[in-house]
Amino acid sequence: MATNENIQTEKHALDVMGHKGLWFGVSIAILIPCIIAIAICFQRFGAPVKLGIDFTGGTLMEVTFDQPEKIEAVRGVFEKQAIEPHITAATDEKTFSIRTPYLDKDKSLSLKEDLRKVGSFNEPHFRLESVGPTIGKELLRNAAMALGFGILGILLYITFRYQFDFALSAIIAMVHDGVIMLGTFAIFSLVLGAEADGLLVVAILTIMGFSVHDTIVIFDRFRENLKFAKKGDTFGQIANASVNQTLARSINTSLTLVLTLLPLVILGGHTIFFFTLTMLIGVVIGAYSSIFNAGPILVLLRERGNKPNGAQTAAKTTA
Amino acid sequence: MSPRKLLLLVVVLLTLGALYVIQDEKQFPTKYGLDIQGGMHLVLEAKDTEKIKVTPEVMQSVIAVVRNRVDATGVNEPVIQRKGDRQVVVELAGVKDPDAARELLGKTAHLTFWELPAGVQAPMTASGSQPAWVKTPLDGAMLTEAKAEPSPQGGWQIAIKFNSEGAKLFGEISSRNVGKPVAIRLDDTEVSAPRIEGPILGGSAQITGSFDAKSAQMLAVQLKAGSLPVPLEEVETRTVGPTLGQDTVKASVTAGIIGFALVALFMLAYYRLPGLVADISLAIYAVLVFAIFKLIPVTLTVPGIAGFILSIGMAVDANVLIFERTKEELKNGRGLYSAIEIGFKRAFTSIFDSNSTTLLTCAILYYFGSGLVRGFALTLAIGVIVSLFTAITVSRALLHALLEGGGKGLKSPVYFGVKLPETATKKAS
Repeated sequence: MATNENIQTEKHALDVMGHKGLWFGVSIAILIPCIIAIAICFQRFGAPVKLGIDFTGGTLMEVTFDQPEKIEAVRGVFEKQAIEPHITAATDEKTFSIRTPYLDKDKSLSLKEDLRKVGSFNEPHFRLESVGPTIGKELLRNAAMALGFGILGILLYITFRYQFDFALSAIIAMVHDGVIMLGTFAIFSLVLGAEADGLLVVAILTIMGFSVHDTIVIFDRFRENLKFAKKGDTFGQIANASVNQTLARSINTSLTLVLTLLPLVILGGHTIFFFTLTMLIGVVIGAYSSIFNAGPILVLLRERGNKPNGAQTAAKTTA
Repeated sequence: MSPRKLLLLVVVLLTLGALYVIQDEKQFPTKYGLDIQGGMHLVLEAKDTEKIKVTPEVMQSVIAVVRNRVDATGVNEPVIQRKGDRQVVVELAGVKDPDAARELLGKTAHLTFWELPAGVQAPMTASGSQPAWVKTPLDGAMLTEAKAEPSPQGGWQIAIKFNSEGAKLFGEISSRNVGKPVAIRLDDTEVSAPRIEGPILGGSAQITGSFDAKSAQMLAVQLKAGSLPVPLEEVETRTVGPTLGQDTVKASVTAGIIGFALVALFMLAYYRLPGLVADISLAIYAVLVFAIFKLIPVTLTVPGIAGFILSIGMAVDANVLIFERTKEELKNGRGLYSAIEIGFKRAFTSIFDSNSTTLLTCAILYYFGSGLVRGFALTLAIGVIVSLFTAITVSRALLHALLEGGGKGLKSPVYFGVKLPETATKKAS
C-alpha cells in the first residue's frame, strides 16, 4: 500500500487527533444552547420540542375564504361552542389555521358548517386533520421504539462488521447529531412556534442513519489502514491519516446533499419546510461529527482501554 | 461480445424500458398520495358493545362492511387496511364529498322489523304511551338488494328485496299483520311504520319516510353493505384539498430539478471526465427509480418525493468514494486502468457497509412508521438499492466505454481532476 509507507511522517491538512479537545469543545459549545432549549421546552410544553397534533391529539383546520375575513369572526365560531382555538391568520387574511383540542366527527362537521356562515370558501382548499389522543400516544411510542431499535440495529451491525468500540464511537457521534437536531428544533419551537409532527421523527432518524453512513466510510479506512500498520504506528496516527485520506470525500458527499436539500428548503413549501430544514442542519452536523468526533472518540476509547499498541491488536482482530 | 459491452447494452435497454414506462401514464399510472391529489385518511376504531366484544372475526366482518360501503361511493383504488387489534385505516383519494363519506363509513345501519303483539291494533294507546313493539326475526342481514328510488307520493323511498329466507319471514309477518303497522328501525331509530294492506309474498318492499335523494341513497348503501356488528368511532381524520398538495408538488419537482442540476455541475467541475460519467449514471438512476415507482407501484407523497431527491444526493456518494480512491491511486503513480479498477474495488466495502446502515434505518422507519413515514422510507430504500447498481456497475461500464471509444485524448489523468508530478505522469501514461 503506497499510502501507508510513511504514516508517521505523512503531512496532513488537518490534525484531527491532535486537537481532540478543540473539536469536543466545538461540539459542546453547540450542544449547550441545544440542551438549554430542550430543557426550556420540557418546562413549557412537557416535551423536548413543542408537540403538534400528531403526538398530542387535537384538531387542525385550515380554511381559505374567498374574501378577507376578520379573525374575531372565525374565533367567535369556536368560542360559541366553548372551544378555545389557537388561530393563525395568513397575511392576506383569507387563510386561517385553527388548532383546537380533539373534536369528534359531529362537532367538526358542525363547526365547518358554522365557518361557512362567516364567509364562503372553496371546498378543495379546506383541510381538516383530527387526531385522537390515543393515536398520538401510539405515534410517540412508535417513534421511541424506532429510535431504540435503530440504535440497537446499527450498534449490532457495526460490532459485527467492525468492533464494539467502533460501534460505540459511531453511536455517540450519531446521538450527538440527534440531540443537536432536536435542540435546533426546540429553538424553532420557542422562537417560531414550530410544532413537531411525524416528519420530524423521520428527519432525525434519517440523518442519524446518514451520520453513521458517513462515519462508516471513515472507519472503513481505519480498518484498511490498520491491516497495513507497521510497528510503531500508533492508533492515533492511523486514525489521523484515515480521516485525512477520506476528507475530500466526506466534504463532497455532504456538499451534494446540501445541494439537493437547499432547493427543497427554499421551494418545498410550508408543509415540509421544518422537515427539510432540520435535515439540512443535520447533514452539516453529521458531516462534522463524522470527521471530528467519531474518530477522536474511538482513539480516546482505545487509549483509555489500556492498549498502548492498539494498532497491532486491532489489526489482528479486524484483519 | 465482451461482458462489458453486454452490460452496456443491458443498461441501454433498461433505460429505454424505463423511459417507456415513465411516458406511458395510461398503462403505468403514477400513484400519488393523499397529500398530493387530495382526499381523506380515516382511522376508525371498533368499540365493544355489551353483547359483542371485538375479536379478529368481528374485525373481519367490520372490514368487509367498510369495503362494501367504500365501493358503493365509487372511489377509485381505496385503501382499506386493518391496523392493530381494532382499527381500520381507510384512504380515499380524490373523494369529492369528504363529509358525506365520513358519515357513511361509521354508521352501524342495523335494520330490524318490529310488529305489535297479537290483539293490539295501533301503536298509540289511548293514554298516549308506546305499546311494546315486538322484534321479529327478520333483519337487514337478509336483504339482497336496496336501492333508492323516487316515491310515487313525491320524495324518495328505498326499495328492498329479501333473500328466500327473508321473503318467507316477511310473507308470514305481513300475513299476520294485515291492517296493522309494522315498524322499520334503523339502529334504534324508527324510520317508518307503514300499515300492511295485504300479505306481501314476493320478498320486495319499500321503506318510506322523509327521505331526500341524498339520504335515501346513503341509507340504501348502508343497507346493501350490511350492518356493522359493532360501532365504529373515528379516531383520526385527515382531509386534504387537492390544490394544496399540487402546489407543493410543483415546488418540490422544481426543487428537485435544481438540486439535480447543482449536483451534476458540481460533479462535472470537480471530477471532470468521471464526473460526467457520474452525471450520466445519475440521470439513468433517476429514470430507473421513477420507473420502479410506477411499476411497483409506490404511492408518491410529498415526503416521499423529498426522500427521492435526498437519495439523489446520496447516490452520488458511491461515485464520490470511487473517484476519490481512483484519484488517490493516480496520484500514487498507478496507471489509469488499474487505478480505476482499484478505485472501484477498494471503495466497495465502505459503500456496502454505509448503505447497509441506511437500509437498516429505512427498514426500521418502514416497520414503525405509517402513511407518510413509510412512503419516505420506501422511496429512500429503493433509491439506495438502485444507486448501488448505477453508481457501481453502470458508471464502471460507462467509464470504460468512454475510455475505449474516446481515443487517446481522454486517457490523461488530467481529465480525472488530478495534477500529476512529473515522474508520475510518465508512469501513468
